[in-house]
Amino acid sequence: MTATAADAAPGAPVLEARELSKQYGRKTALDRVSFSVPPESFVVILGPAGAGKTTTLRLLAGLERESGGDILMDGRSVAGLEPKDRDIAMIFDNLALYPHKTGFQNMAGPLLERKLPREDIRRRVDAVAAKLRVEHILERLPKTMSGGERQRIALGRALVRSPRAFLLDEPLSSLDAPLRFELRSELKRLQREEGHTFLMATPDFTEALAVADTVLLLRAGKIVQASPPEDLYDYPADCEAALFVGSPQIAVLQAEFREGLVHCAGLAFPLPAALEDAAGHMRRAGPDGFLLGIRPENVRVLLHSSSESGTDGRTGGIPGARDCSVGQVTDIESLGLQSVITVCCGREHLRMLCSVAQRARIRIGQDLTFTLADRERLTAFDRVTRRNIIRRADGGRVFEL
Amino acid sequence: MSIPKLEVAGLTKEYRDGAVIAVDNISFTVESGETLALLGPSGCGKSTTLNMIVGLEQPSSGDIRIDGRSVVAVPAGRRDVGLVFQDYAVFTTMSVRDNLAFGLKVRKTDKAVIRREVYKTAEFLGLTDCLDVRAGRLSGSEQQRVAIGRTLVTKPALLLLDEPLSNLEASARPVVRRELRRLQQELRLSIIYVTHDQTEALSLADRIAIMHHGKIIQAEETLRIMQYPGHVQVARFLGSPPMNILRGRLADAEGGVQFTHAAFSVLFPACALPGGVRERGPDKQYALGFRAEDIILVPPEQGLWKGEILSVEIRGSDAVVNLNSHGSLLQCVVEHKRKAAPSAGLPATRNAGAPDIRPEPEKEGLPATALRAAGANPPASDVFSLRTSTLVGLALAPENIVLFDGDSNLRLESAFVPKQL
Repeated sequence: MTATAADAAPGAPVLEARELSKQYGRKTALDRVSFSVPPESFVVILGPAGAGKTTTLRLLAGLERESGGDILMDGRSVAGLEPKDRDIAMIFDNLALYPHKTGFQNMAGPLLERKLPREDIRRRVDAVAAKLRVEHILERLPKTMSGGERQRIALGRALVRSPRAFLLDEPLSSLDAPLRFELRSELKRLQREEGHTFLMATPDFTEALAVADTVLLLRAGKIVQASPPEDLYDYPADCEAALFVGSPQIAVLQAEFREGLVHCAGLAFPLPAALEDAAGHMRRAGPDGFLLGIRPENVRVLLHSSSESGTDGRTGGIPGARDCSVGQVTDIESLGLQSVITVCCGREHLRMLCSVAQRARIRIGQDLTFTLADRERLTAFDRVTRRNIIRRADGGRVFEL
Repeated sequence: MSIPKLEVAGLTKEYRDGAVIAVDNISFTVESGETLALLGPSGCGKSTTLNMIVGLEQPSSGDIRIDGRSVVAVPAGRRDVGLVFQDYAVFTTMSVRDNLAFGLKVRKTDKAVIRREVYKTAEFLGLTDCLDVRAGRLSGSEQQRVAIGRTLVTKPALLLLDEPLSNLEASARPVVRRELRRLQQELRLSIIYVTHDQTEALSLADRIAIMHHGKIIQAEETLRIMQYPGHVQVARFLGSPPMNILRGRLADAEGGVQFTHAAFSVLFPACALPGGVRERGPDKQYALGFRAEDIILVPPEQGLWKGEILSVEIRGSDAVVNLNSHGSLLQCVVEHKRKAAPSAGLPATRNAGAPDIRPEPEKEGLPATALRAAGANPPASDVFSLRTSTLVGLALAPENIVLFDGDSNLRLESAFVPKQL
């Protein structure tokens, strides 16, 4: 039996994992993971090495047997189905080509095996080759192609088929950065234009944010967060998610709420709207307070004798409020048009972005004044659970308090 | 004036009797205490250059001077340079201590001195706790630290780092970069850093030399080369995304100068173009460069020209918008800001005086966040949904345009480029 689109339950996701678990001996690789991949969507499993990404893909492909839970394709369980009967294509990192075959022969391989009519094969290969911009090298042997061209042919080889779903396991990780950026945007374009359903695993958050409709953040065999890419950045589920996504990295600092003000890294300011109804929660947290997540782009460097204004004017007049604070510069890293300045403020380290012009005036070891660009863009976490406690712009929450 | 730590003059390396020129007549210096990055794609000749400085390969012509003395005839082991490889190459079966001591033992240094220097280096690199551990048991970044320490212990005049971070996991790289910066600051080493990764070059180098097909096409201070690329290839190699380049012709027109690209043309006020641009005509090619960060997206009818959105790639605090503009792929960076949460129980209100550039309520297809063009504050009416296939207008401030000669690919002097930063 083969699961095909023909007998798909209407509206059902192409792939669905229900409470999926995998044990290797006494080690739990995957712990009751549930998610779904809707038709024509690009879902990315993001996580560090060892999180369970490849295990998840292998279970879905049928290359390994799950220890618990169920896998559904188009609403029907595929438990017990052989990999070849699941109508899934898996694409790996090390995409190999046959050295003695031309680009065309390499790409046509999977179709030739199925004994499709010649014209159909030609048409299909040409169409995919056009999408991947490799029409001009179809008659050449792999050894005469550049690394990028070989990788495109290899991807093309997988993409000439039209299975219900593609599982991609770090397909671009062995490529140089410029080529990786180029190919990932082509993968995304191809997926959308052809209406493919993609589930891709990657340890690289930039890749996940760039291509995903939905990101599943996997950590130690559990899904920590499943959200659109911009939400992963704006509303990370917990401290670790915030630290994992974003470069330069977010600073997570100790903060306290007392006498109506948030105190953190020498700053004191009124409670951001996103934290207003978490105030009671923070007071309960006692003198240790809570954790404040400050992204580098939300901190502004203030250099004297410049026209920049230090205050946003909103804390003016509030007794005890401090718009600016001072820290000692411990590191400067250039990113090109911007630099990341790290300052040490008490026991805390804070990162901020500055322009080339500002950077030219900053030295390691000096004291630097800084302010928050916008306190409404802060993120906050419970000190004990480390979970996000802010309210979203739509009024909802990442976690209920 | 002090003698440069390293001076490379007219260095050339040919293979197969000149059929292949790996390194083509390059010259550069490394001052004492300076870090120079050799940056370029694989195969551009940077590793060959390094091998000639170390003495692993003999130049076809040219000279290499360390502290003013030519070393071309000096054998590899006696050039007073330390080389750290991409794959660490530590002795995995030896302890960290023996790895660090190796170079000094070979030189038959006094035992007490070895002990002292090994400990000092281990302390500096945070390796004192694992001195007796076999190097093969350490993590990648620890092994790389051992490899660097093993080289540092011999106090070379010049430290050569060949893609030292390439084999590390992504998460370890910022940490090792930070350690290398500390090393530079505290030890004031003279370093050549070979890499294909601009992040590393920008992060660590005082100056960057960009190599392309065996030649150095530009060598300049890190901050300056980034701001004012002198060559089309430099502009296409630096920046993420790199600078947009459009090739076309120039013609005098009423009100300015018309730049005509294959499928569209833009009128620029004459003051926007470099003073030296004289040549016109159908045969003279120019290349127009502008940064992804400098394009401002506006409604279609307000733009200098139009483009269709192909895709939006979210990066975190900003997003890259890929546009098809009359057959050319252009990239543009837009800022991405989390929307403010409404005050609890109250309707959202604006803070008086704060620029408000939030988009209208969610439209279909609009990312659930505010997006606006970076680098400028477009009026609120300019905010629109960044949806695939949407037509948008592109605007550009004249001072953000760089003009290159289309034949030599060299940047033309512009009134907007200050001589010094």
